[in-house]
Amino acid sequence: MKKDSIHRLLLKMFSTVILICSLYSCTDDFTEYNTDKTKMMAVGPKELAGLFSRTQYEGINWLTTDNMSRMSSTVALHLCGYTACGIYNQEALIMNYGWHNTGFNRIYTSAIPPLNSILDVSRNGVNDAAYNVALIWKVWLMHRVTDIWGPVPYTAAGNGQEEIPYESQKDVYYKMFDDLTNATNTLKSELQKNPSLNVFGVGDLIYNGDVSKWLKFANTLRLRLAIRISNIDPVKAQKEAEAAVANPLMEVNNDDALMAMNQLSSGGNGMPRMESFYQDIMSASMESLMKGYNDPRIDEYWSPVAYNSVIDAAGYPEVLKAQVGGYHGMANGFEQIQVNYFKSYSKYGPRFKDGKQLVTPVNIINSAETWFLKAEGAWRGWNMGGTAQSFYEKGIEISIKQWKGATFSSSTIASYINSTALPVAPEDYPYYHPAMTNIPVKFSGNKEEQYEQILTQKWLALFPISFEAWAEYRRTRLPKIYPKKFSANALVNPSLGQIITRLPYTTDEKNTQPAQIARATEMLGGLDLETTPLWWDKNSN
Amino acid sequence: MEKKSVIQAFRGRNKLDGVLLKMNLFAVFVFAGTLVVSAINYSGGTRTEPNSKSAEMDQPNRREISGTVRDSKNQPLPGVALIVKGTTIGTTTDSEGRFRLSVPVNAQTLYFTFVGMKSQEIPIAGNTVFNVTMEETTFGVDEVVVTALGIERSKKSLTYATQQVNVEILSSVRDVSLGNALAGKVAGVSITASTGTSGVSGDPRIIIRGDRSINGNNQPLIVVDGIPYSSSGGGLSSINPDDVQSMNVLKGPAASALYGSSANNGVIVITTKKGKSGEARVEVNSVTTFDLPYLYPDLQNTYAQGLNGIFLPNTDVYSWGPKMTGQTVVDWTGKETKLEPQPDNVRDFFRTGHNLTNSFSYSAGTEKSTTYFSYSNTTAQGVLADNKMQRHNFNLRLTAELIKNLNLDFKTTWFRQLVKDKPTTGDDLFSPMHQLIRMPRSLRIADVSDYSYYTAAGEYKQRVWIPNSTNVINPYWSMYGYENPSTSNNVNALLTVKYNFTGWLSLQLRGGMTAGNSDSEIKRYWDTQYVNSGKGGYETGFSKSQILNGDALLVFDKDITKDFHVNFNAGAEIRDSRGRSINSATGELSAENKFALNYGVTLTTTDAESRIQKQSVYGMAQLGFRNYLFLDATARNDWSSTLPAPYDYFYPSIGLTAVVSDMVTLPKVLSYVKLRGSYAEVGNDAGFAQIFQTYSRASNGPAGMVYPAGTKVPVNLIPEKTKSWEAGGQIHFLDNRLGIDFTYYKSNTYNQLITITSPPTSGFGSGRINCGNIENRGIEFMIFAIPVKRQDFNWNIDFNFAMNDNKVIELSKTLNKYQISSPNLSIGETWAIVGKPFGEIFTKGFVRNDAGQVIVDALGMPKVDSKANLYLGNFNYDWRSGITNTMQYKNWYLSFLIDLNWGGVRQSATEAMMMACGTSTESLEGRETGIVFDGVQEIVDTQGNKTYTPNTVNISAQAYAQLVGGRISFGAGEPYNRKADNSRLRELSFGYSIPLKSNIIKSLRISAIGRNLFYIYNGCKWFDPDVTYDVDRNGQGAESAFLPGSRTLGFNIRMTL
Repeated sequence: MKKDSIHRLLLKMFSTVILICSLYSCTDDFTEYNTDKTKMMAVGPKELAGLFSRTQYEGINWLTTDNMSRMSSTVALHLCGYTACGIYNQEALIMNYGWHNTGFNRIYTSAIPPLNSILDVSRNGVNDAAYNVALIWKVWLMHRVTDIWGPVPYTAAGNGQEEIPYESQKDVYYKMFDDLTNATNTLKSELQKNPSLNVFGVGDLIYNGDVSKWLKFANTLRLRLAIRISNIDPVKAQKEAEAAVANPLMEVNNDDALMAMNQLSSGGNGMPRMESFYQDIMSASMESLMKGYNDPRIDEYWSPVAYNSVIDAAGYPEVLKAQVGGYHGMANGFEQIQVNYFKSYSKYGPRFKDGKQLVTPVNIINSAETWFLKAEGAWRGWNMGGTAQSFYEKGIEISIKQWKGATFSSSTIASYINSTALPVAPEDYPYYHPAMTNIPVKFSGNKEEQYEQILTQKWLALFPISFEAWAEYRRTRLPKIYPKKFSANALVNPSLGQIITRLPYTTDEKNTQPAQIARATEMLGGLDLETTPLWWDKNSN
Repeated sequence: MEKKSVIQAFRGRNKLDGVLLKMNLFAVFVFAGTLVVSAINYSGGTRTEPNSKSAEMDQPNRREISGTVRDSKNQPLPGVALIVKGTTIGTTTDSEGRFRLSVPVNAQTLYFTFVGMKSQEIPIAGNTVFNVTMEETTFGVDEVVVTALGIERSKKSLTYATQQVNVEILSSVRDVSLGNALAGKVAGVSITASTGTSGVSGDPRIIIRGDRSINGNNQPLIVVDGIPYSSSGGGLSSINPDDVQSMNVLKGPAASALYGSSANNGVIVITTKKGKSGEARVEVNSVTTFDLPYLYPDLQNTYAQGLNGIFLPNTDVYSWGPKMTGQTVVDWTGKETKLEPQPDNVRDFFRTGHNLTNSFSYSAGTEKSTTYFSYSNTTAQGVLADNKMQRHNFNLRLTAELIKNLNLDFKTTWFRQLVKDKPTTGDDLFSPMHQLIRMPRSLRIADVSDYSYYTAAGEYKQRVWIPNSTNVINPYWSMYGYENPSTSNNVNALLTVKYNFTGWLSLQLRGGMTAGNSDSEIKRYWDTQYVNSGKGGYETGFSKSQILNGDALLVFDKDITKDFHVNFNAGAEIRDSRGRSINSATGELSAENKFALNYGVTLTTTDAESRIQKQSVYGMAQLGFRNYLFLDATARNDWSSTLPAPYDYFYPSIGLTAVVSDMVTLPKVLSYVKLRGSYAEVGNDAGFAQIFQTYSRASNGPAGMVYPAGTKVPVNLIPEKTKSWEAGGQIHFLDNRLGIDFTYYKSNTYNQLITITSPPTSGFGSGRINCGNIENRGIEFMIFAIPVKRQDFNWNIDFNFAMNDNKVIELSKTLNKYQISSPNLSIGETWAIVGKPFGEIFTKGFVRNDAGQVIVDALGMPKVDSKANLYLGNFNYDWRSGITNTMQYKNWYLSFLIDLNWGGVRQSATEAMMMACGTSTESLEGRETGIVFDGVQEIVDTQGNKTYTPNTVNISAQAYAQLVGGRISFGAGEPYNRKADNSRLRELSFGYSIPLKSNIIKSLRISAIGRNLFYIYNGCKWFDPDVTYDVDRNGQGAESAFLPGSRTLGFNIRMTL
């Protein structure tokens, strides 16, 4: 090879290298390189449905699957008196902070972030329907949180800052009212323009995107919140309640907010999952009422006691063996020795049997509740557009139809409504309580009895929405469920009427923002304990 | 026999596939290599003539020359290479330093080279007899070291500490990883081997001058031939030690600043061999070593399986049964048998491991072109019967001067590794040691080794003393019922073109490529409860990676005036790395032991992809004055795709060196004095895709579910920065027979990107923030001495010592302590706490009163704290040292390394577990009599005053052991903390060079070698404090079901043809 050609080769090599260098010597593509192809970099209109499914599902996840036992079965279900809990520690009121921590985190870290994404994508008139339906869902999520812990972050929830300010429960309530007011006003005018307005479509696991249903949901929720603060802030309560009833409400079972599980591939309704574990057992209070009233819903809520081999064990009480085949409730607050006795009491009804996880929808708000809320408003003398009795009776009718079907015998319903039968003494070995209370279903002439009737029937109608039933029990101490027989928690003496009124702040929050927890405790107005009453709870404890 | 056939059938298939694949790849490789060689020969114009010897034979005009080569003390020098310049004609001197050579009549110059001597050119000028005296290079002074970017510099001019590693010992006293062989040799470098090392597994954890990063990488960058090295089959372990020409450890940022951001943990610079001009040379190196397990935890041989003194043949992990006195019982197999001690039932489980390495290299060249080729093959088996490894390394290196002043350097390597059943250690169901240390002491190993059977229905099952347990499996089943084969391939190519414009200006262009892939499988056989809900479990994964590297370097090197010398380098680099991995797993198979994804009941698949590109420009200038004063400055600017725009960060360094002994006249006793100081900053980028908030979609529900990532990305990420300075010097005494090299350094690492727990109300479980300041200060020194230096006896001593003082100065605004990722299921927690060194370990301790007495409860049981509040110590040593003695007497050679490390603690989860199970000798105490724990009872009176009375309540040994033993979740860690102080004979090599008068074999040396031969002292008794459960975790110091301590013995044959 000649020298010339070598030089030419060299020149070529150099220019190639320089070319390659100049091609690469630029950072234009860096953002693309640094992009994880397995992830989405942004969300837009077409992700709204998926985001909404996620916030909905994660929002009820503590009532389902893995957290069922943590937050629902072991907290609200037995604290509100629906069930006895099959775990001694929980039934004996020993706090399981780890579980509460997980439940609290689930809302803030799993349900709130996709919700905030919807708000971010749709705010400022970009998509009013999406924005406001999401806002309504936020109020639903957060009202449960504040009703469990008290002062919590509402405005700043999920904003990603290093410190998230807690707000007093009163502030949280006022902000929820504001959000519901704005949302209902906007949706109302949107619906006037387009009565069949739909948002999120099948991504909305509750109403399939029907905005008119969400408007009703928001008004019933607003009414629920108004009633909740009726003892502590009656003026605001009345104003909000009257505004709510001037708008469409969830009145018939077609409006029921039920989250569909039948299109999920995993997870689903947690009640059937827990059913097989014998952790949720019909309570003695339930037995006293439902048996006494001859309640037609009993076979929907509960099952007859099934045979279980533990009863064959030596020394198993004969009286409990005899319960097989009947409906039986267990006393709350049992001692450790009785754990196995569980197996001779009633478990959930047929739709909550194990295996129905992806069949039975999750109850979010039952329409019957609207009528009991209106009944209480009317009972308080607020303008609810009718009498307390008419609302009370309508509520019972709607509730029975919810479980027994729209075609259920109206005469049976009427005879239930007009029944003067009283609750009975449950056969709750070994305590054998007397009847839980002495009020019939038939609406009383006595104002005080009316109140107890409204709350007692609402309690039956709220089933299985335990967190709402627990909140209302704390506000009203009604129905007069049996106090726990035993408490291993030094702060709670059930015989003095003491109950768990909230959950203490979680360890993760205490570790990551102690200053805010100190502020929150100050706003709570008492120690950060499970026995400190919340703002709207005026009962002594 | 039949029962094992299922497993064997699968193994057979894999073996065949492996062989076929190997053959294919080898063919491709050879073909590619041939192409490259011919291409170079063609385009280069000057043909490489590695075998030009035959041409020389035909030369008619030759003449004989001869001579003797001696050193400055007039002693003959054997083994000196000499060559006729410009040809391949050459030879080496014999044992008397004599040589004889036939040269062409027109030959001009002879060129003499020898290690440790200055090379010499001697004109032939018609002479026939040559008496040559070679001058020694001053020990460690005129040495040339390879520094950043492959720049060779005289060690004298360096402004920072580096340490060369003796590479010869690396290739003879071999370890599975080159990294392990660094232990004890380099001041300031800590080597912690991976638990699977007995035989056959990965790279150690290497830390230089202390931990800097809280939850990032703390290990150094490995640079091979100027390019950052990465291999899918491991880092240093994928390099053939025989190919290593030199290995240099750059310890501080000043040394590594030019390598850029990846180098803030120090750099290990490896230069590999090139062919040598002169006669073709073939080297064969064969190393055979055996791993002999000999250190076991203390097992009791008195009490049988059972609980509360009663023999229970089906109890899972307890040896709290009756005393073994030969009484007859019905055991778990249903046989009537005598209860007798089984002292060897753990020992018999292990076998002798071995490691056979054969390597071959060929080197040849003319003055214009060289060729180097090597192949190395390693076959190893571990101390566990199913554990094997095979490794192949190919290396081809070609250099050529294409035309005058234009040099080309090409290298390609191929590494392939097959590992069969890497041992599982730790508290894992499939960890054999975890099963063994809990195995009831009365079990006969022969009953257990028959580990499987077929049921009448033809189902393949494990035989175990407690069937269907979720806690225990047969130890043999933990090996054979769990297979995790893996294969990795790595191809590396490097092409360098260098043009010398003049003697003082050159331009170098370099391109490098690394491509690797690996695949792995996990097969869990059916009838392993808990982990398999179906008929076995299966997992397989594949990953590939590719790194492209290109750089250009302009070098200016010139004496500006008589006194001033300037060396200036300017360069630019681009590095692009990509990776992809796919992993699919099923916990359940639909057909018994059908290990394929098709049989997966539900598959979980992960797919990860990454790409990082970094672009850099850098410069280095050195100003030298009279060859005794040097001022260095470097600057580098990086642009990394992992950072937010504008992507870049800058960092400088500056240093000064003075060779005092050349500047002023010093007393004669001081032969060399050098002082140096430097300051450097190194920046660091983030990991892949850490700055964008992303979303994922799950397929649940009619519209799917979309959700944001649960980790908050940093708002304004800034690059991490390490600022450091160091000062040191080198002083040699007594005619360079004694010397010390010392360094003091201090470095602070700021703006680390760490992941912290966020308030859940923020919507994020965790967040990444920039924060922190971790300080490392320390001293290092190396001393060498040459006590004897005679014609036939030489004795060298090298001692190194390092002490690092680590301190967490600051974490973040809201954090003053941070839990470091700890080894899986250890009995301690590891923390970074402000004001304390990195890696403080805490565990659950006994509850004590103010006087320090342990409080016992009413039943006589000591109270154990519910949280890990008891401080145990730090996992780092206070100081480390090592001493190597090398002696040479005539043809005999002896070298040994003893290291001594002091301070630091380890926690033994194994001992805690054995206590709870009653298998340790510790658990024997009080079995017959009960235990009165040495503590006090607390009495609180009505006023709340506390008084203490000595405990007198007797408790059962079993109850006590089960309280304190076990893991942290249910035991007390306090009794299982061990001091890590240790000293051992780390390395030994004893060899003999056989004098040969052969024309074929030029040299032959046989050595006996050993590693980890014995402990002079070991605070951890039976386990190696320098072994870790997980090399990648920043939390260290935990022992958990490690394989028994073993020693390595073997021999080495090294031959040159």
